[in-house]
Amino acid sequence: MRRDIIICGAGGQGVVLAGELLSQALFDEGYEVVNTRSYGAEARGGRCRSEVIVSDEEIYDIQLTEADILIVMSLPAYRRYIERLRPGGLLLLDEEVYKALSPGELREDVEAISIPASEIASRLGNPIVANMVLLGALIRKTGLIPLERLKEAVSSRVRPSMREINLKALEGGYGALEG
Amino acid sequence: MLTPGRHLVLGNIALAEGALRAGCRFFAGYPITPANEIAHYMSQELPKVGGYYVQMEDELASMAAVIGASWAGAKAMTATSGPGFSLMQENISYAYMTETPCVVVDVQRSGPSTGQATMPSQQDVYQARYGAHGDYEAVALTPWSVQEMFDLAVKAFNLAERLRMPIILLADGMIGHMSEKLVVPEEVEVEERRRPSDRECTPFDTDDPSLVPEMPLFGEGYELLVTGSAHRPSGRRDYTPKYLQRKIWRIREKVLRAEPKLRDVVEYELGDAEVAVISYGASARPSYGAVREARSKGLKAGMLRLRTLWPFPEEVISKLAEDVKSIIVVEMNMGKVVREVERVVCGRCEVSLVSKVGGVLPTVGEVYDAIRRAVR
Repeated sequence: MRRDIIICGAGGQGVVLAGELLSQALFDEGYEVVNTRSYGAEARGGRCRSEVIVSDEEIYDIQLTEADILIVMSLPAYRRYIERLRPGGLLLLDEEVYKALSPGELREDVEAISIPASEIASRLGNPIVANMVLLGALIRKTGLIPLERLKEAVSSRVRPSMREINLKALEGGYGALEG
Repeated sequence: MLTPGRHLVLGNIALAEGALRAGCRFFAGYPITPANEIAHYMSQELPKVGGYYVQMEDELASMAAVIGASWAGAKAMTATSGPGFSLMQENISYAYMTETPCVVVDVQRSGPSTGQATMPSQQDVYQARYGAHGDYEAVALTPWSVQEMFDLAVKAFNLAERLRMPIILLADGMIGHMSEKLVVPEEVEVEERRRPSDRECTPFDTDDPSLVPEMPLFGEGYELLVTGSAHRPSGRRDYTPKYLQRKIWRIREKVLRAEPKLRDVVEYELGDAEVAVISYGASARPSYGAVREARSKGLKAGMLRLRTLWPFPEEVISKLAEDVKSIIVVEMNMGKVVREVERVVCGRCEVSLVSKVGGVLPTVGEVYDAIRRAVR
């Protein structure tokens, strides 16, 4: 088993953190993991991407050119990275991005799932946790690891004042999809 | 510091952790991507173990501070990337001349110049060997994984003490900025500095077969002179040709004598191989992926991975040239190590290059295609 995952969005949306927490959870589950990130010089607003390779074998192809799963948090990131998704791959995108797409812009050869991530996050009290909503949805959709593993990673890595809302966001995303 | 056991960490953090465990207690540096996490981690961790972290005004001063700290008795390190490595070269030459143990990390990024600051390359392999002025033999280590960032950091410090010279840890932005598994051992083997027992020691020459003199320190009562100018065994400045002739011979010869022990290559499936891939650092990862793929399809491919790049493992490659029909060198530059390979192979087998620039790694597919072409 090997899955190539790209999470992309704008700087400040928690793209790198989402990649780190997902990687930690997969690593704790016993998988081999390679996590890389790339971002612009801007602290906020620039393009930002995190790549997670997970496998049950040692990983040698360490730089992704294509992905099986693409998680998208902003419209510019969608336009930049959508072509990297393999045909038949899984596209998880924030509903706000989905709604902003021009007619014909959504690829038809992939499985696209729109998640109201920003909306769920805002309802919880902070749009910044939309990244966790998407991770929760990813886990529900793919069954890669138990949600519990991701919650453990969040609990150990996220500062105490933000812990509860991040955990709720994970559950919100998990509950937003049918298993 | 990390606890012994299994961790998911960034390559740069693994390197810094290895340095701390090898006894590094002084770090001076100037910020540059993609090496910053090393300085950041050292700034947090060094004070906790009684060490010192100094952010200097530039790379020239950083290298100078490292040399000074080493003569004061600390195991010392700096970390930078291409442009900063260029700025350090003058004082790296000073470290060769004064035989100062220290570790210089270059997390290579894509150049020339500012290039692609956040993206990896292997364009500094000659800078690591010939970047500083004057005659010397360099030692450079090339890690291919987060684990080796740790392991080779430990090794670099040990070699610096054993050979009394700067050791270049030639990493790259791919491995530096990548998180994967690191297993921190309970203990690491640490080599301590050989110090003179005799006040009448000669800090800059020895009869010992290693050709590495014992190193006195400032502040311990020695009448100690350290200069970048030509000097007598005592350290006193002297331009008489015989002193510099002996010095240059010795700082080169001490490395060449140690070469069989410094030699560090990893062989994969070379037994019956007709095609051998030679690679190092990050580009060795997809290269090995390609060799495995070739084997799974019945192609007789193997690989030689260089973990010590300098001094160049001539004997190993010379023997390889006798055993295979074709050698493919894979590197993230326009072809540097391939020229060393061609020099050693000297026409005895085919040598070709898979080169990748622009901040991206060669892919498994590209190396596999090269293997298939070579087999045909």
